Amino acid sequence: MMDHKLRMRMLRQVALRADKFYEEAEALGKKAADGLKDDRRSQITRLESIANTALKTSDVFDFIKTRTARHEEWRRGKWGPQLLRFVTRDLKSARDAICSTVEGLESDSAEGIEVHLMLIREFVGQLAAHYEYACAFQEEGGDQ
Amino acid sequence: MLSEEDRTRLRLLADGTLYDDAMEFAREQKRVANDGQFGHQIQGLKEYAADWDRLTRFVNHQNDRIDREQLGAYRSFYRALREKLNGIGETAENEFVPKGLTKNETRELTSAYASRMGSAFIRHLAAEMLWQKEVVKNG
Repeated sequence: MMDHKLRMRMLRQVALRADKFYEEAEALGKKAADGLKDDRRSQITRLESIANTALKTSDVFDFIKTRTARHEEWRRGKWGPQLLRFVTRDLKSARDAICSTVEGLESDSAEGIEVHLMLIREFVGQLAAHYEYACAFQEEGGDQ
Repeated sequence: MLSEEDRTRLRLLADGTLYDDAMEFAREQKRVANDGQFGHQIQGLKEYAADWDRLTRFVNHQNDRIDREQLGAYRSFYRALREKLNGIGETAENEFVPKGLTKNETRELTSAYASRMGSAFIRHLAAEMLWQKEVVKNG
């Protein structure tokens, strides 16, 4: 069981990194809205569900790959491949940065997996919000 | 019942070595993704993946079909997969199963751990090969 202070330091670092996701999440959220439109909202809900319940980062990676391969709307605008690249590379780098910052955290450990999953959940949550916002403006036909 | 420590070790394997190995395997065997039977073969592997004994029987059966030249395009794929699964079985026994058990106990425990490792490997492999076929190849 993780030490309480270590956990708090980890959570703080994840929150600080998550603040930096805004622009990427906004860009991908808009692309997802263009690709999926608003009648495929269940796809984003399913993505959030997988991210929030996964015990391994590879579960999320496999889900994104399979959805992108099977559904053309995940490939429209290449948002599916960009999402995969972000969670496998950028968030992995963020995980490594957090683990090197916080003493007692190792990238290749259960805690490292937890950090990476937390980052994925934060990002996917932001992406989902930007998707909903973009869909709302698409419905109204207005500019953002 | 697996211990918390074993569950953690299996998660680390699934996210680490097994994922990397599946990526490499998919790259080496990407040719079969173009075959018309590819979807059925991958679906078959995924169906059997959760049960180690069924998975290994399926792969051995497919290897027999290759020898009867019914699955020629998959010669390299199923031979390499049999080798990979043998390796997973050995890792399961060497890394997770305590020494000094009876033959049956060893076999049962090996099966339990190998099942989880094999299942993770097949899931990663299926996702990556689909990805390579539909996304990377088609741009």
